[in-house]
Amino acid sequence: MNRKSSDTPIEKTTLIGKRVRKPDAPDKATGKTRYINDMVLPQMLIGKILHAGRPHAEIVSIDVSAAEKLPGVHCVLTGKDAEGLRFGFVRDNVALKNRVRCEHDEIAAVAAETEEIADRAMALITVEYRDLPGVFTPEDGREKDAPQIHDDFPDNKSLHFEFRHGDLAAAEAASEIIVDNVFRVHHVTHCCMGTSCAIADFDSNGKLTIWSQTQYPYNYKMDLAPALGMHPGDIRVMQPPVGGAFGSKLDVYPYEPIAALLAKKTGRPVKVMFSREEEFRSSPTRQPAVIHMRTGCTRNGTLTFRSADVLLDNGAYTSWGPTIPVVMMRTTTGHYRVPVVHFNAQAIYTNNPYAGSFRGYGNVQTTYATAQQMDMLAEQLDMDPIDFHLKNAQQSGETTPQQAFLRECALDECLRTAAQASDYSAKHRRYTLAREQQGRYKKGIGLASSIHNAGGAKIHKSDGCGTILKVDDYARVTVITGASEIGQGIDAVINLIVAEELGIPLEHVTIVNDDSDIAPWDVGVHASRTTFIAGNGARRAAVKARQQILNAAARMTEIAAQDLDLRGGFVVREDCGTKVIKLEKLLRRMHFQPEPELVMVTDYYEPNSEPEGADHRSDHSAAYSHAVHVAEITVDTHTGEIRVDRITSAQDVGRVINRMGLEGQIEGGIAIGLGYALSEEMQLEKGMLKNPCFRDYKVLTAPEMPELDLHFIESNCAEGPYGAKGASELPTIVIAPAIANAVYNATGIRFFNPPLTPEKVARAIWDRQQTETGPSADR
Amino acid sequence: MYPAPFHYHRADSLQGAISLLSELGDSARALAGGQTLIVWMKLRFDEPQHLVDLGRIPDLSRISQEGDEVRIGALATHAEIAGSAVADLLPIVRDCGSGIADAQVRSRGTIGGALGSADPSCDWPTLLHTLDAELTCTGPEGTRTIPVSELVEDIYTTILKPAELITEIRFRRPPANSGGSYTAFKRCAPAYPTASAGVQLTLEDGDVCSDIRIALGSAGLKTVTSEEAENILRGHALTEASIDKAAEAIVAAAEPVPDQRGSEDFKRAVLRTLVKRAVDIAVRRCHGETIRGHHEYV
Repeated sequence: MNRKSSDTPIEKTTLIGKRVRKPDAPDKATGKTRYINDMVLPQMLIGKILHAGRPHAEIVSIDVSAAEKLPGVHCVLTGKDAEGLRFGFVRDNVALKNRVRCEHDEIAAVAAETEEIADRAMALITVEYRDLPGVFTPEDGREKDAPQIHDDFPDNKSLHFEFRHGDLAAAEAASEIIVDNVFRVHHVTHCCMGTSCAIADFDSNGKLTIWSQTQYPYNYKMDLAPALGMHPGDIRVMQPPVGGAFGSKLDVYPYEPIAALLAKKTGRPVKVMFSREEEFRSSPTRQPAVIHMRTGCTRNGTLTFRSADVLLDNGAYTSWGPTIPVVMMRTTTGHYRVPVVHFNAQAIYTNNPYAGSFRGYGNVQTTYATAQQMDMLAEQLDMDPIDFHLKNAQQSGETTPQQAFLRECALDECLRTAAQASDYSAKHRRYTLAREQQGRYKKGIGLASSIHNAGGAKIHKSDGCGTILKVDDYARVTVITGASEIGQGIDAVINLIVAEELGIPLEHVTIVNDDSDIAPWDVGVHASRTTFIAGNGARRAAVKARQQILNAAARMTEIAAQDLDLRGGFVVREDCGTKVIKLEKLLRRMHFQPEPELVMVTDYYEPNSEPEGADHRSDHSAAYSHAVHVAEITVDTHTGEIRVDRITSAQDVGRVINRMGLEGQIEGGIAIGLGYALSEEMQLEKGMLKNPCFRDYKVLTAPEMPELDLHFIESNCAEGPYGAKGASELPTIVIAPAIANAVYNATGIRFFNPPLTPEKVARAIWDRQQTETGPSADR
Repeated sequence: MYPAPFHYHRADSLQGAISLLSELGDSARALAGGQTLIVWMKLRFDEPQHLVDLGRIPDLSRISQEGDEVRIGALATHAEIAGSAVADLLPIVRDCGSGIADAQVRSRGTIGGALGSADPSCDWPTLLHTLDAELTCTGPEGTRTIPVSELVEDIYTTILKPAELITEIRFRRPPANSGGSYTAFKRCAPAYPTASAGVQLTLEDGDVCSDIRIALGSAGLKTVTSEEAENILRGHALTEASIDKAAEAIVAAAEPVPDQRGSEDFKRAVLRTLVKRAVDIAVRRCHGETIRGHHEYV
């Protein structure tokens, strides 16, 4: 007898770990996505900002009368329109300035019918400046007679962070080998493909709607409100698709309140959008730092102490960037088993562009130092670096000096996997020997590792995420989540998790997360937290819905709920997969019964981590993870060109959720890290950016990406969704020191100041040749 | 980053373009793809009041070979030249054309535009020096032929008269026992080269170099050539020492300008390397090897 296909039992399958495409991918690939930059509202005016174009000055006078008279101009604002509306992490910023503290300071703003009119109006504004001597390095800013940048921040001191654990003097005395170096890491910027943009509109009740690229919509309201003199509750944040963020949208920047101030004054929607040059000049940067690090060990290769004295170039204002030492100190204290740790960081105001947060958040800078010092110590010990790393690698159950509890620690597995896959030890020995031989091209292999929080970071009072999930009469699911999608792939993760729990096709899930009036609280996209926190939230909500559905099915079928499962859009028997009822049919029955029932659940997930306290001793993340990168490179000793031949990455991801999304995150992270290591640099001359364009600021492109060999280590985190940990920042963090260690392996030269541009590498090689053979050496 | 306002005119014939340019005088510029001119205008290095677009003039982009003469219309785009039968025949042409900027620029930018800009960073002038190309130019006073080596008077300045346009590039196809190579050292695809080198050489009786032309781009205010360097190699068997010496001689003639792409001595080191790399590939091509040439992105 032929069995009808509809009677075929449905086997249990899982989506976890499968390759699932992002829901937004087809629209983005075909150009259909309407980014915020594409948006046009009826009656919308164009806002433009007049930047100072000088690093430090007083404004003697400003005349906007000619600009105001230009037909098509609706309003011109200057510093007096934002007086007293201080905002920022330490309230040192205003949207429009009465004094210039950095090149891009916003002096005036225009709202006009068209961009052309706005540009013409800008040219009609006359400003008389009195230039002041500036401060362009944090060292200079500390000098006694240094020009003062903010009246209420004496000695140009911004934030200060300190952490001490153990007796440093005793540990130094007990150390047989100490490495002591100063690393200088540079200014880079995010280079989002979508330039910064905000559209603001007020209704007649005084409520502001702002279309924003923000990656933290709820705290964004809190941070934007003081810049406008508003209550945060009167701000609605809309989040259309964005062309990248990478940390750059984790604060409020002046163009956003400017758009709102212009909208308020004109009563019309106003859009402010940066040109590419403005984007380079006015976006936040990664925090440059001077890191004086010392690390010690005993003759048998046991680490004894690490101290780090960090001087940070704050720039002209304090954004979230200068809080990065909170993360820096965690890397300093938690990267390998270091019993004694002293960390001291001081951020100094300068007249440079100011730093914000950037993928890796401080850990990029410190790992450049820690991972190279591990390499140096191994060399001095004459130990295979892998053995040295393994000897000092933490194990599950250990706690760092800052009280990070490493529940599931897979550092040694990451080390072994990366080393084995790349044949690290044999190549490292071979290239070390080949260094002394003749030859234009030198090969090198380098290893670096780091630790990062992977279960959120409780730097706010809450690190939670709210989720609302509803299932309609057709078994289509809508998930309203606080988690923002900024291209990192959370929509795909939530989609996969919900489809997994409810046994429905992926296409039957819609994610809503673009309106702060609809979606519940979330702390934002940062700290590699979203898959972990919002993923847990989505799973918990989906499990509640699933239970409600199975309970209803049990009542109707008289089969116990635990004997039922949801698969392929059906309620089936758990044991054999036999279909019991079509899910949408069940949902309609639930709805249209005498005691009607809708499937509509909420969840608020708050991880069990501890808040970051004043003494910086807390288990502030619900999980931690490690990554190890091995870089294989070839150096052309004639031109200093570094070709990256291959990157082997082994990272503890807890468990793979969406394999394709994870690959994308790791590959993208590596690309950003490679640019930091090799080519990207904001060239500043007395606070003025000399390369505000992609012609002169080199971001690596697809053809320059090396072969990648990715290994996902699954440590199965007990607290993570299905065992997953956060994954996005580590690949950016470990790549630069892996390259630097490889260049050392190839050439015997250490580079303490990235990026390793051809000229810098060539010059170091020539300099060494000159000292070895005299000035006639062939270049 | 918007250009100053200007009037746009579309020419439909060469004579029409020349008359219009004569009429409009100094405030007009010929638009031949615009991949240099529009950028200059956006940066306000140039604020012409009129643009005369040559793009629709028929028959100015033809690429042909007749006997041993190669002819390239001035409006042929970089992409058209890199994809042409000429590039199949002369790999040096493909080396150059396929590496200019990115696909968008290669599809719009023209060889005539690149020559007319007199920018020493442009790739074609360097290449055309190695092939001893001649340029056909037409203006109000008629048509004349200019050797490519005489076109540029100084950086961004040609000897072309007002309203005179380059219409065609011509050169003799090198003999069968000749090989060439062009290579540029660039930060990334859209950028101009930090430095570039082209070499075309002919070998007889195995390794004796019977003729050679070497040219350097982004190495001074004009394309750099050196008879001294060529004479070191011409008439002799090529050796590592003689190639080094010739590279040294032409790099000595270069005057690279320090800028964000590198300091002067770094650029000299890169030029030295590029010359040797280009000679090596040219020799191997003489010997019949098929080598894919490319620009180096660093």
